[in-house]
Formats: sequence, structure tokens, C-alpha cells
Amino acid sequence: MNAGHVEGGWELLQARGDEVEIHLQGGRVVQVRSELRLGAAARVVRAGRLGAATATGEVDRAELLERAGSAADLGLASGFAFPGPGTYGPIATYDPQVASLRAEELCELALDCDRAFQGLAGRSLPGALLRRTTAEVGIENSSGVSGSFSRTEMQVRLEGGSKTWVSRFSPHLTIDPGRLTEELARRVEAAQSRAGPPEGTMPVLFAPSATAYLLQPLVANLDGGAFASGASAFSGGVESPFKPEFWLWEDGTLDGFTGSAPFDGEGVPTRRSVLIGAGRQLGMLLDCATAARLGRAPTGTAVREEFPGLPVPGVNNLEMASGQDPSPRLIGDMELGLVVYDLMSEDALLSSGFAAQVHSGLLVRGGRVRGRVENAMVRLDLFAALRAVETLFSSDRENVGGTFLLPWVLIQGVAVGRG
Amino acid sequence: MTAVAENWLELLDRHLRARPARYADARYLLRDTLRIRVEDDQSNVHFERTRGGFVRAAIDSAWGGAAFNTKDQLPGACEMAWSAARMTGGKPMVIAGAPPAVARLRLKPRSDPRGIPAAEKAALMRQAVEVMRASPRVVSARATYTETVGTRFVVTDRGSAVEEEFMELAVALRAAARAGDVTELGNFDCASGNDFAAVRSCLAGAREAAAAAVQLLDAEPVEVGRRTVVLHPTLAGTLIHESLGHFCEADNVLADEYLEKKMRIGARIASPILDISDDPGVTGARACYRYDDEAVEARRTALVREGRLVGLLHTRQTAARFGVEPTGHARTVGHRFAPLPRMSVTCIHPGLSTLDELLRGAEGGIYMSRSFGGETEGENFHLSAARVHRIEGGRIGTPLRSAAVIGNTFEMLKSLDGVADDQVLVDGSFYCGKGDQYPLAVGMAAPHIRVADVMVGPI
Repeated sequence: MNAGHVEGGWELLQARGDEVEIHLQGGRVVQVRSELRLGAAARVVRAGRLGAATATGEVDRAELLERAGSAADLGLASGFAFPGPGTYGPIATYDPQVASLRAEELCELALDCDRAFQGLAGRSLPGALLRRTTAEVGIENSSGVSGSFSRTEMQVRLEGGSKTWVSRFSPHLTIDPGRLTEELARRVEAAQSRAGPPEGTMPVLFAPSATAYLLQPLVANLDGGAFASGASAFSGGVESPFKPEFWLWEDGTLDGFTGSAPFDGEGVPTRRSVLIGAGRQLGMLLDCATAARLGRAPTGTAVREEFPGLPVPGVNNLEMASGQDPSPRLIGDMELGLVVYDLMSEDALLSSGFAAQVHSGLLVRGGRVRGRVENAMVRLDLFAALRAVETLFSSDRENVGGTFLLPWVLIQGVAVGRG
Repeated sequence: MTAVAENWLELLDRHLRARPARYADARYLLRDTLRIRVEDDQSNVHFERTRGGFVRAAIDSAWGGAAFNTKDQLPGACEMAWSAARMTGGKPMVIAGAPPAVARLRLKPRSDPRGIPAAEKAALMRQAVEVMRASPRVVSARATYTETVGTRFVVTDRGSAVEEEFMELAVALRAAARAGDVTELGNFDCASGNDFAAVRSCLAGAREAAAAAVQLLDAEPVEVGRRTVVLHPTLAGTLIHESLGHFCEADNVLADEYLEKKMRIGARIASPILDISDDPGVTGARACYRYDDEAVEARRTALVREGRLVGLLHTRQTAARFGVEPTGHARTVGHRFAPLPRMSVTCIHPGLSTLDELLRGAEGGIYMSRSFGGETEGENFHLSAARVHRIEGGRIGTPLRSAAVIGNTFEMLKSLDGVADDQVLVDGSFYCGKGDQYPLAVGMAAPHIRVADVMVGPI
């Protein structure tokens, strides 16, 4: 890459890839969508100021860097510096079997799922989405970073009606449609009958998919930007640490997770780092810019959410420690309570206390599921719940959305009402 | 611009003509965005250039579609789309017709941002941050300016060829105030589809955001429970967008048996004082357009009249399924996806009450303004209000912390018991998501509304 004309530092990320997805409705394929992608993102530091430019399509590198330089001229001086070279570990991000999947094969896989569901539930899948994605990513900068990798991602989402669905994400072709449809059929059966929402204070068991929602305010408070601005609850220290069984890791190296990669969005090697250890806040999420503001080293957690967007602090993958009891036992021990699969709440607000509508949940009475709950609302304070001795984490964990490895979380004394 | 435009319209048309289909269309997007984000003493300026297109064909029972970035990729994308469209066999889908449209539509901004140096815009955002930071107890402030200017090209195999320029300007401000371990946020946003003067008004908004964040530090949290709420037009519009608006998107109705039963034309779904329409023709709104992404002329579409459902938002495909004409609401985010029925500017028609009358009838209730956003899943909705006050003595009284209104859409629509006469266009920094397609600029025109007996809780 020739970027010698750029004064100050520069960075250039280039990406190309393709995607195929199949939409199924009522057992019929209704759309086959393909995509060819090509794009680049440049950042330039000029006179201590950082600027950026991105483009899709064929990119003239020199022009892109020049535009990033023009953007830098409009910015404020900062202590930002591009990272130097690091050692990238071998991480399995690419599966040739996924990469070679053709649209016809995905269609057949979708119809297999439908046939399996029909065999179990006696009707077609109301909806399904199967998608496979490939990408090649390369990054270089003026400080000597030079790296590239290829990645694949396979996504299957099956909808069963009555607000039930299951989904799996993986870099590999390890998703088992048979097991997935069985899981969906079980959830559909449990949700067949409706139950009115109970009112009062009771235990609520959050499935891993709902735990991902619960953790949003915690993750927002661990964002380096929130520390830099003083807005994080951890900036001044939370009142007391969480319970010692609570551990949370950021891990960009987890095998089988779609957020894994040898390096983050700025070329910093990914790693496993403790965010919460034995209930105490030990780490935070930093990209190079927030790291510079805080006088710390970046943590390999710069995430580019858009294609080919700019890096911001985020999580590659998030892992939460498991507990002692399997989730079926946690349900079996409940006299009256809820199992919640999905919540509706605002993303990434910093406040740990919130009320949220239960989008998908089940009523438990006498240790048995009695039907799906409609129009229920739960209210709790996450930080208080994570401090409470009686909060339990399940021994079984699930991959949620390809980037979270989370247990079921049982919280006592949750206020439940009619939403 | 003209030379480029002719190339794309002709190029897309040539590729469509070369491949027979029951229906086919092609789009290309040229979009340039300037993003300026200032947070405390940090800034990030970003020039973004998007070039990409989408071709799709209906031959049998399924759509085949392919997205691409460059001219060189276009033939391959067409091959993929047509091959996919032939893959499924089955009964061919029916696509509704629309009069062929041939048009080249240029922007006519009231105040054109393209003539204003980017440095001036960056300085304005820095100034907004300084204004917020000047407020005691504000620990952090952020100002974001987004300016998008672009051209959409849409060609169909039924003779349409449309080139339409568009513009989206938006400012979002956020102040964070902190006392002890309590952090509260105050926000302000403003937007326009044709007028940079709206952006210049953000300095007053900066003072408002900072004051709101500080005020919230000393505010009490809202008590959980069912209340009568009076909603500012921003929240009224967001509520109707999230609750009813998505139900009026015809593909959502077709995909859900429960909704299909509920959303029958003529069914009473809301209080009889409620009239709602969706209008892509509201001049000055970011979601204003003349032709949709299927080259169908957009039109104001009545959705609810006196509480009864009178219409839905359609693409060509859903219109054919319902046996009606397409409404011009086929919209996409960028170039990567096929069009879906989407809202543009959703309008609650003005009622007969005044705001004072609404407040007088809501003693002990809650007044909510400024939106943090909302969400809908099935018939459940969730709406977050940044600013909340008790209603005391028929007036907006003691401030409370941010809160959410949550509930069941159909129950809420029937307990809506007041619509004020003060409708305004509220074109803030509102973006809608549907499936993978986010962010799509949308707007609302709404008056104050009052809803009885709805669940309110803290966020």
C-alpha cells in the first residue's frame, strides 16, 4: 500500500465479501437475496487531528486518504495515535464449507427445516431466515500494522409463531437444523396456551437471550467513552461490588463465535480480558481514541458496526460465568414466577434501574410452565440484582446472537405487573 | 450530475431489457454523508461515500435479488438475481401495476447546506458542546451533525425511469449530568429535509438539553403504575409510529395471522377521535419524496378515520395481494435490500381540544415530552420519554426522571381520549428500523394527545 504522501499517521482498512440469504414464509421460499460488497475506510492524523473517510465500491486509496485528511483539518487536536504492530493469534474465523454454500443449498436447508418442523408441529414454519456471509478484511497503518483475515458467518433463524423463535450464529457449518427445529417445537408447545400476567413481586428467570438485554446497561457503563466523560457508574465506584460469583469477560478469541477475529477494528490483537472479576469491575472497553483520552492502552475492542464503518469501543464477544444449577432445576424450584425469553427496552442507557415489557415469556406455577404470558412488565435494578446473594446463574450457557455466551439468570423479587 | 444520471438510468434499463421477467426493477444510489461528532474535547469528522445498487426479478413464486457496488458487478448481480428468481418454481407472484413514471427531480432547498463550509458546521457543533458544558453538573456533552445528500435512480421493466435527489439534515445533542453515582441524560434533536436554518437552531436546543439533564438529577423517579398521560407531539407521533404505524405496513399484516384478523379494513381499532394518515409529500421533512423505490408516485394514504382502519401502506407486491393500488410506500435503507412497505411522515390529524383541556382532564397524571425512542414487537409497544412531569392543578408540574410508557397497542388505541388542535411537524433525528433495514429517516406530524390508563415505569 502506498500512502507515503500522507503527512502524519494513516490507516486503511479494506473489505470485500458476499452474502446469500433465503427468506421462507409459510413453508415457501419468498426471497433469495445475494450481495457483493466492496469498500474501504481510511483515517488520517494531521497536525494531531483525526479525520476519517469511508467509501463503498472501487476505491482510489490516495483519494480516500486525502478526503480523510480533509476531515482531519476540521477536527480538534487529540492525543490519538495509531497502534503499532502486534502478534495475531490463530483464530478459526473461516469455514470453506460455509463459504461455498450456494443459494440452492441454502434453499434446500431452509426447506429441510420446514419439513422437520412439520413433522413435529404438524404445520409449516411461519417464517425462517438463513444467511451465509463471507468477508476478507485487511488493515494497514503508518505505525506498522499489517494484517488480514477471512471470515464466514452462518445464521439460521426459525420462527414458530406465538412470539417464539430460535436462532443460531456461527462461523462454521455446525448448526444442526434438526436440533434447532426440535427446540423451536418445544417452545411452541409451551407457548400454546395463554396465561394472564401475574402481579406482584416474584422470581423471574431470564433466558440467555433476555440476559443479553439485561446486560446492556452494564456494558454501556463499561464503555471507555463513558469512563472518559465521567458518565460511567464505575467512574466514581459503584456503591458495593457485585456478588463474587459474577464474572464477565470480553473475548475476541472465542472459538465458534462470530465476533472472534485475530485483531479488532484498528489492528490491535484481540484477547480475553476480565471486565468483572469476582464481582468487581476490573476492565473496560477501549478503542485507541478512548484509550488515549484515559492514558491507557487499547484493549482490542474497537468494533466497526457498519460496512466499512469506523471503530468505536464495543464488545467482540461477551462471556458470563456459569453457576451451579441447570436451568430446568431453576424452573422446577419456582412456585410462582416467569421465564422471560425476550424483553423490549431501550439500548445502552446507563441507568441500571428499568422497566421493560416482556415480549416473549412463560408463566411458571408449581415448578411447571403453564403457558405464555401476555402483556407483562418487569421492573428491576440490575446492579442491585447482581449484588443480591439470592440471584443465581445457571450451569448451562447458550450462544446468543453469535457474540454472547450467557447463562440463565434467576432474579428474586422482581416487580411484575400488567403492561 | 446529469451525465452520471443518464448513464445509470440507461445502464439499468439496458440490463433489465436484456432479461425477461414477470416483473423486474433496478436501483442505484449515489449518497454522500458528512458526519461531525464532537464529544467534550474530542471530535470525529467523517466523509462517507456510498455507491451501490440492487436488481431484482419476479419470475416464479419468489423474488430473486442482488446487491452490488460497481458497474462491473452489475452483470453478475443480474445473473444471480434472475437465477434465484427461477430457483423456486411454483405459482408466479402477482405484482400490481402503476402508471409508468419518467422524471428527473432536483432538490430545491430553502437553505442549502452545500454552500456552507464544513468548517462552519464543525464550529457550530463545538459551540453546542460548549453551551452544554457550561452548565454546572454537566460532566459530558455530545453534538452530532449528519448531512446526507444523494440521488436515487429507479428503473422498472414496465417503463419507469426516475431520478430523484434527496437531502437529510439532522442534529442530535446529548448532555450527561452527574451527582454521586446518578447519571442523567438530557437530549435535543432537530432535522430537516431542505433547510439548514433548522440546524442553526440547535444552540437553543443545547441549553435545553443541559437544563433537562441537570433538572433530572434532583427529580424523583416516576412511580410504577397505570396513569393518564398527556404526550407532547414528538411522543404522540413516536407512539403512533411504533404502535399503529407498523401494523399498517401491509407485509406485517400478511405475515401474522393474528394481525390479519385484527387489521381488516373497516375494523374499529382505535378511539373514534383518532384520524391518521401517512404522507410522503410533507415538504421539508427528511422522509419527503415524490417517487418510492419501485418508481410508484407517492401519495398521502389515509390509515385510520374516526377510529376505523381505512387503509394500509403498500408495495407493488402487497397491493396485488390486497387487490388495491400501490400507495408509494416501498422504501429501502441504502442500496442493499429490497423495498418494504414503510412509513414516511405519519400524521395524527388535529383534534378539537386544546392542550389546557387535555391537561385539565388528567389531574394526577403524567406529561411526557422528548423521545429517547420506541420499539414494537407484536402488539406490545415500548416508548421512552426523556422528560416527564406530574400534571398538577391542570398544569405541567413537578419534573420526574425519564420514564417509559408500555402496553398493548390495541388497548392503548382505544383508551386514547383526547387529541389537541396543535398539530406540528416534528422532524427530529428519528430513524426507523425494520428487520435489517435501519436507519430509515421518518417523520411525524402530530398534536398533543391524551391516553387514559396506560402503564408508566422508570427507565
